[in-house]
Amino acid sequence: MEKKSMIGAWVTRVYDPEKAAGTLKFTDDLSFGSELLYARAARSTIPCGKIVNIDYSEALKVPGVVKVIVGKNFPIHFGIYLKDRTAMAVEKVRYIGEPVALVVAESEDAAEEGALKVRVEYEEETPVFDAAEAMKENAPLVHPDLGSYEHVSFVTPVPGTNIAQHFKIRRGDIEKGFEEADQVLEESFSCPQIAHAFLEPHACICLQDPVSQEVTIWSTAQSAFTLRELVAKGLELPLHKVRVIAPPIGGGFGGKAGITVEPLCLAAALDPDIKGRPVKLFVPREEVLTTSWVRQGWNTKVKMGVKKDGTISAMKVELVFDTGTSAEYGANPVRSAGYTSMGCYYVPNIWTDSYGVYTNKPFGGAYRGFGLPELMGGLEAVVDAIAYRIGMDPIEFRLKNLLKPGLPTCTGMPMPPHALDKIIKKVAEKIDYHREEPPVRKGWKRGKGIALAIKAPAMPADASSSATVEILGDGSVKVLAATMDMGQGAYTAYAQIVSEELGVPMERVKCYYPDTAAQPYDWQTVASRSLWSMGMAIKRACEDARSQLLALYAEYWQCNPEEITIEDGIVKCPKLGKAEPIDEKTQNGFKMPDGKYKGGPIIGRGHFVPPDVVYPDLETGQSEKSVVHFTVGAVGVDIEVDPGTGEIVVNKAVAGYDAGRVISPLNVKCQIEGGTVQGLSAGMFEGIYYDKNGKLLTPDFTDYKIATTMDVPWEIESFCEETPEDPSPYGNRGVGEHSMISPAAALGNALYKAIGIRIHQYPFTRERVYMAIKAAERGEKDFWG
Amino acid sequence: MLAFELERPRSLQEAISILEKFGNRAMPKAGGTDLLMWMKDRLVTPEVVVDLSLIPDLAGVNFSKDGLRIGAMATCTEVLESAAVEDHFPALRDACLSHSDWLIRNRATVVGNVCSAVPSGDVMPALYCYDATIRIVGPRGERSIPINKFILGPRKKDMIAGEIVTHVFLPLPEGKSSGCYLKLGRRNALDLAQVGVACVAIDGKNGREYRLAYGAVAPTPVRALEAEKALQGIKAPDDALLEKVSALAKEAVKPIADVRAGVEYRLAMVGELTKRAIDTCVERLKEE
Ligand SMILES: Cc1cc2nc3c(=O)[nH]c(=O)nc-3n(C[C@H](O)[C@H](O)[C@H](O)COP(=O)(O)OP(=O)(O)OC[C@H]3O[C@@H](n4cnc5c(N)ncnc54)[C@H](O)[C@@H]3O)c2cc1C
Repeated sequence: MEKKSMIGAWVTRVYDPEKAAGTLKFTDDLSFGSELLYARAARSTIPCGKIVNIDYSEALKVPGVVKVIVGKNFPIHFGIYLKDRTAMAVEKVRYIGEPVALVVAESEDAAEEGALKVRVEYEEETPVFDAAEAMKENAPLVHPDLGSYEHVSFVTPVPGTNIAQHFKIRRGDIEKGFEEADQVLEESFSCPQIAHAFLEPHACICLQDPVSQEVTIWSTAQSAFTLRELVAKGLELPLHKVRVIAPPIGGGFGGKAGITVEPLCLAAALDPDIKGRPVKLFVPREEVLTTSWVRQGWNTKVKMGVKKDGTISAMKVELVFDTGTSAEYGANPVRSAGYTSMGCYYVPNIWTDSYGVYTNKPFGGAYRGFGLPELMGGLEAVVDAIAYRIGMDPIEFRLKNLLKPGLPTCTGMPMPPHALDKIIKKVAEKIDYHREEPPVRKGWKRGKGIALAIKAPAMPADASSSATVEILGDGSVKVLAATMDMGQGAYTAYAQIVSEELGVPMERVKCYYPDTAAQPYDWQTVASRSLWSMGMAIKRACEDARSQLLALYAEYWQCNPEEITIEDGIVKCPKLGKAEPIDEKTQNGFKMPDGKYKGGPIIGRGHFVPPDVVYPDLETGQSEKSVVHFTVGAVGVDIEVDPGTGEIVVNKAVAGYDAGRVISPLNVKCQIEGGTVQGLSAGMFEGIYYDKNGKLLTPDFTDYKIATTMDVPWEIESFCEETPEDPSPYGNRGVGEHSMISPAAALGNALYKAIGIRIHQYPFTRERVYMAIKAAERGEKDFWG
Repeated sequence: MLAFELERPRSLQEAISILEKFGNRAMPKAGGTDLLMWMKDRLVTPEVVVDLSLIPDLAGVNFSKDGLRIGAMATCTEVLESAAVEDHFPALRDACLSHSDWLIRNRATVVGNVCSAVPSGDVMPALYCYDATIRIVGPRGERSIPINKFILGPRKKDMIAGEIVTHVFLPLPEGKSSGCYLKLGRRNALDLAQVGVACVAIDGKNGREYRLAYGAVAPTPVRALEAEKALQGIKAPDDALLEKVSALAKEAVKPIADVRAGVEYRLAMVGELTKRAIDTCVERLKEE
């Protein structure tokens, strides 16, 4: 009987029972005894201005308040790509809600009470809230010191302006390309900032040992090691003196990547009067959006030139990301959108400017999709519009211009193999795209729409992973792989890999949550990279452990390693008729035929770094290999709209992606369904809004609305194609973020079909859709309101 | 949230005396689904919270031939599961079902919704249509007041320190009736109304009578009396009349623009939902 492979097997997810029972401990559940202090921020009440004076004398009078720390006590710039951010405002405030002081107290209540008593005197300055305004000459500068900030080589701020990042693509002859076109269409689309809306708000506990100066951080972090690195750099400590423990987190979606709220807590824990006591910072829901990042607001303008036969001859793309007061992390989604700005199409002549622009608002950073929902939210609408303009079916137009394997992307890199053409056809078929059907609900209007998705892992060229796999004395396996499993199911997939490679049952494999003191290095749990990059490391670690074990058994049994198999935890040599379960020998050593002990605990190790990524040229964006790989896919929706209220109901959503190889089908299905819902939710409901003074109007879930189960599609169908990737553990490529990229764009295209007017502003709320329908009744074709 | 004392009196008398003693520094709590949020946001800062849940007199939903009594501790779930409510007060049932989600409805009370007196309170328009009265006890004894006199403005109600609402009373409609509550929110559950419309139609002594009340489109819930008059006696309003009625309804309301919706949309929805609500009531009366 052939052994059933664990790769592609439908298995039960690990850690779900503990989560369901509520016994798994999250950061906020940890106990630190009476030593623990609590921190709470006092926040700016103006959007922009100089701090003249901070009076915290009343705060100090609150019983239990230990100390108040202000920005200038802790002026360190921490950050991953562009160090424009301090834990608290130093001298200048840049948005309403920015931390200006930190009250540290014996209880959370006292800290809160104290924070309310901090009085700040400001000298107000002129703010700028709109990214387009902020790009104009003479706009007030959010960061006059931009030129002095440290940044990585592949980020390009423009000092003296509000442009924190400018990424360019210059490929082909753009003017000639437009001259060759028979039709040119230019459209723009925009979307406000949105929130990750993870269930668990940020929390962290920091502690510094006054003698060794070692820092320990327990945090709701997606990326324990990058956090360690950024803290160590900021504090000028060696890496081994910073330990990050990341307990399970309740959702991240990019919102807990890099370094987020930790510096604010460190400001207290490192204070000379406090050092030695652990300090906890729990960020209440109402403060999440003003303490850490959100998804950037955006405006995407696409000018497309098309020949009569439907081929794209040129494309000019301008992406403006509203990054708020910091592009510390947000500089990178700007790049990510830029170097993927051809979308899923072959565009011979392409010119792209992708900008990250400062404004006086809370700041933008990483969010699932990382620049691509922002690009595709505009591009996929333009594709539909131009197809209609030239009288071509939008599906046919997409297939005709598809970025087929081998064709150059906008960076010049050849597109790796994929099956997008097949996926598009399948999606169209599954929603019966070409059949106009009557609405299910009386008086409603029905429409179907499709949009393509593409994304590469957006990460430094040298983002590496490592893992160890230890075979324990009873044949169970301890895996140290510092990925954060935040619900995506990484540890389940890792257990499947180990089970497959070592021949032990999956139930006997355990992955532990990250701790930088115990585990080997991994860059970050972001970019849909883990099962690919960490997957490589784990597979190699398994190979290492297995060959160690087989070598020992070969000597012990006096046979060749190739004659030994491990199945279901049983080591076998059919030739010699031997079989036994893995036992203490694996731990304590084998007594060999010569009477001597050999071996000892078996620890396999593996590491991986992408071998051949070259950063795009800063002027042209060209690179022979700009990214490790691309994952492509398509989403189709069948919707209907109530013209009386503007309500949208999604009858059906279909989403297909080329996953390379599906290792964990249940997880992939869940990722696709979850991302589809998240994308539709963003498309229908989500937006962060401010009043005219820049005060946040949507701090919590009373007015920041995401889809509930009552709003999700009646039916979601997902599927995968499997065109193998190389290098890759099993041919698999990233699939975590992609389902979030294009549901909103597909919705927009379906909406246009249903109501006959193009809405240029996301989200498609009931109010906006209703107003658009009224505009359509007046004969208008575009709705900007 | 500030620290507070929790009192859990077992009788009305005890509750009143605690509330009277602490005056403005104490607040009653029913389900706490508004009160605790407000305390967390420091919109209110009671030093003493008086939990009403152990007082037997405040429990339950009771139906008699005169009407319906909804005790102060009756949750939205209890009310919507009551057969009498389903049979005789369908607009209230719809309202309770439109309120939040199952979890909150198991805690949130109908009386608490009234006492919060926020413009978007979902149960209120139905209570306005059913001519509900609010029954109050306090240091100076008992009193009874129509709901539209009780609600004075956003978060303002006619009550003094020491008083407790014991129940609301809904007289039985005099004649065969139907009703509905249509709520428009930004999504299908767990949202505050952008517009809420309650409609009740009664075949009474003087023929068909309609009542229309609106939430979230004025500082308090409002009845659209002119619109009601225009419908008086008409069993099958035609499109022209529905248009006229919805125009009159728009005149009765005075919405504001906020992050939940703009004025134009709210007004348009008052018109649209009015027509739908009347249609629903007319249909529901035909069915029986
Ligand atoms: C997640 C969530 C969703 C919500 N969704 C909705 C919704 O969809 N629609 C809606 O209308 N509301 C909604 N609310 C608000 C709230 O749930 C309702 O207003 C609820 O009906 C209040 O009832 P309660 O029993 O919780 O009142 P409480 O919070 O206990 O009390 C509310 C106020 O009334 C006072 N009070 C309570 N009982 C009495 C009494 N017997 N006598 C005198 N004063 C009293 C209290 O002092 C307090 O000021 C929601 C709240 C939450 C947290």
